Amino acid sequence: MRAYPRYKSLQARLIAAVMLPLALLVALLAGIAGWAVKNTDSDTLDRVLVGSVRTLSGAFNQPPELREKVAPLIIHLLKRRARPHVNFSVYRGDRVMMGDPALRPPADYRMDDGAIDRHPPAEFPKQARDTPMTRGYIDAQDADGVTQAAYLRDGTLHGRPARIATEMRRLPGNGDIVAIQIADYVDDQRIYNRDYYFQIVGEGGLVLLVAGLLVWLAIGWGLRPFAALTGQVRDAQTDPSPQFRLRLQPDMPRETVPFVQSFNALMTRLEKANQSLRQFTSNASHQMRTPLAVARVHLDVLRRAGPHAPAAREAIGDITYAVESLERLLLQLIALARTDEQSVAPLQPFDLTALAGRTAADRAAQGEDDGIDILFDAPGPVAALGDPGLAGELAGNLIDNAIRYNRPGGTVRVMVERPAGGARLVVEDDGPGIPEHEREKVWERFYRVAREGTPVGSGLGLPIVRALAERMGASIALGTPESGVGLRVVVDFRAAA
Amino acid sequence: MRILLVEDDAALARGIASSLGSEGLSVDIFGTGEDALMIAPSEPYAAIVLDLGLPGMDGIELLRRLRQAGVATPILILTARDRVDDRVLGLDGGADDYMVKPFHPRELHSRVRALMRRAQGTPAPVLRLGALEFDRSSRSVLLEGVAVPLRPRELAVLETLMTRPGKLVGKEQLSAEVFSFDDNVGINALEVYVGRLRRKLGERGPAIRTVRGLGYMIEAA
Repeated sequence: MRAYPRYKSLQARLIAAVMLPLALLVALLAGIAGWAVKNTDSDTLDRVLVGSVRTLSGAFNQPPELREKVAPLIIHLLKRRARPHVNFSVYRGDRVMMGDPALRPPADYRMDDGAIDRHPPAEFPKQARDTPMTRGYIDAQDADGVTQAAYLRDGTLHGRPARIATEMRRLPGNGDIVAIQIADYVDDQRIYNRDYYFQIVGEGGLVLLVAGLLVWLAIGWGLRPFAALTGQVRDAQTDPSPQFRLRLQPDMPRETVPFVQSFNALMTRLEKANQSLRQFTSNASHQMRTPLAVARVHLDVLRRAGPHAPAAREAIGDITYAVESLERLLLQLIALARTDEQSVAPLQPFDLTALAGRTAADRAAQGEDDGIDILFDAPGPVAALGDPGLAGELAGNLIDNAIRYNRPGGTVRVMVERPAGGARLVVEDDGPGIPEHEREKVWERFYRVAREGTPVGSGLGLPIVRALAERMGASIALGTPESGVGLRVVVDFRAAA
Repeated sequence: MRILLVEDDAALARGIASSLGSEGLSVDIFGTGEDALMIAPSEPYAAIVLDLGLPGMDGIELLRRLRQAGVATPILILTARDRVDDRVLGLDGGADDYMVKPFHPRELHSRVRALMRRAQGTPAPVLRLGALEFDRSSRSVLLEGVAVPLRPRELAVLETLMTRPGKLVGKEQLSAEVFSFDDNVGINALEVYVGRLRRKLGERGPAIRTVRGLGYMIEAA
């Protein structure tokens, strides 16, 4: 398939339309998740710190020999995957009993200052299972000797920001107050959070990717009927035929129906235009063949008999006639072609009386030559809507016909009327008229009424008149004059408002 | 030889008649199919030239009716309809040949002659009888190699007789085969033409015998 880089693919557009909001949604969700993780995580870490310090602190509520055994065990137990190293210290005055000396007790720590809870103990939101506790201990005994219940503060350890949980309690026996502390580096926590956040974002990206693929496939599947239609058109290109129509398949979605219908309607119009053009060319060439044959055969007679033979005069007469009919035919064809191709000009008001009168006057001499009288009658100016040029041609054609098909010494009556505010042109002759059963057929191009003794016409006069009338929205009808003889043509123009 | 021309365009009909006439053929012109249908079955035309675009009964319809009426005369369609479908329709409808207007008169003559030759069962363009040769294409007659000056009517009578040597051709028949309605010649005129022919052909030419009361017969000398 050829690529059309200038045109955006519908599939791509739909993907964009679906995927952009989806991406925003994923980003929002990731943001919410990240925020929630951060909060929950810091909350959890604080709980862990406080819990850890209490556990360790619990060991210092034991006699020394037991304490020596339990404390390392507790430290060991406190190690987690995320925190393989436990930063802790237990200070007794200035002396470190255990752990990292760098983790200094808070400034307000005194080995002998028994102030109770100088700092508010750490508190956490209540949870569903809310166990009653004494100063953070389930077992009230463990809380004995605690002077400062576990609290949290932000400090530094080895120059790095750290979150520090501190509990102070009296040692059993001598009553010295020890500061038990556990710290976590804040940046460790940050790195942990970031990793976690990246994981969320990565998962979101994966979701987006999978969704994009699915949507891509789904849209492709949804567009398949259109691809099938395109295929039909492409197949038709190998053998272009005006009869080509898109076929609706039963599995095609409803959305394709308007497209298929419009396309087929267009094809029908093209076919009709094509057909009428072909018909026209065929008819036109048909009409030209006879006069050409006449000229040719008589030229041959002239050549054989010589210009002075009796047959020669007849031959010259017939050649003249043939050339005249060719000329007339050509003029009519040109007129018709012009009517066919002219775009619909905006209609304008004009005086039908003036126009018809002028046209009739132009033909008076021609009528006189043929011994035909042309009469004109009008009730004064009559405003009609149309195109003066086309209307003049129309009237001229009607009067020409009336002269041509009149009986010798007959009359042509050109009348302008105003029936009920309308604008009407009537042309009557005294000729043989057109039998009622042929009045439909005479509008067809090249149709000729079978009749003896009338000039052989091209069969184009009336079709031209009709084409001109249609162009101006005028209606046209054939009838018989009141006298009962001849042809009466009535053209009703649209009345000018 | 007599031709029926069915053509509604009077100018063209006149031209064709005049053109064929100069070839020694006499032509009857009819402008409508109805008239042609009335005349064709009863007259011994050598060929029919038929236009298709006729007012009233169409040429194709006329063709069908003629063949239906048993008219076996060769028919040449001479029309402005140039589509293949039209040609097929015409030829399959019983026509023997098809020509499209505008045509060259010489081709028309030659096609009409060919049709007549075939229909008469004498496909050779030159008729021979004894020392006499009749060239149907150039319309010239040679007797022992020497041209015999004959007028168109005399040629027509001689040609008709020579297509049936040794056979009796009735006077009425001969007259009908040679003269058109417009020729308006009686049986006596025929005798005049036969007399002239005998004189021009002389002793060495074929003999045109008169079978009294019946007709004529041509035989090698």
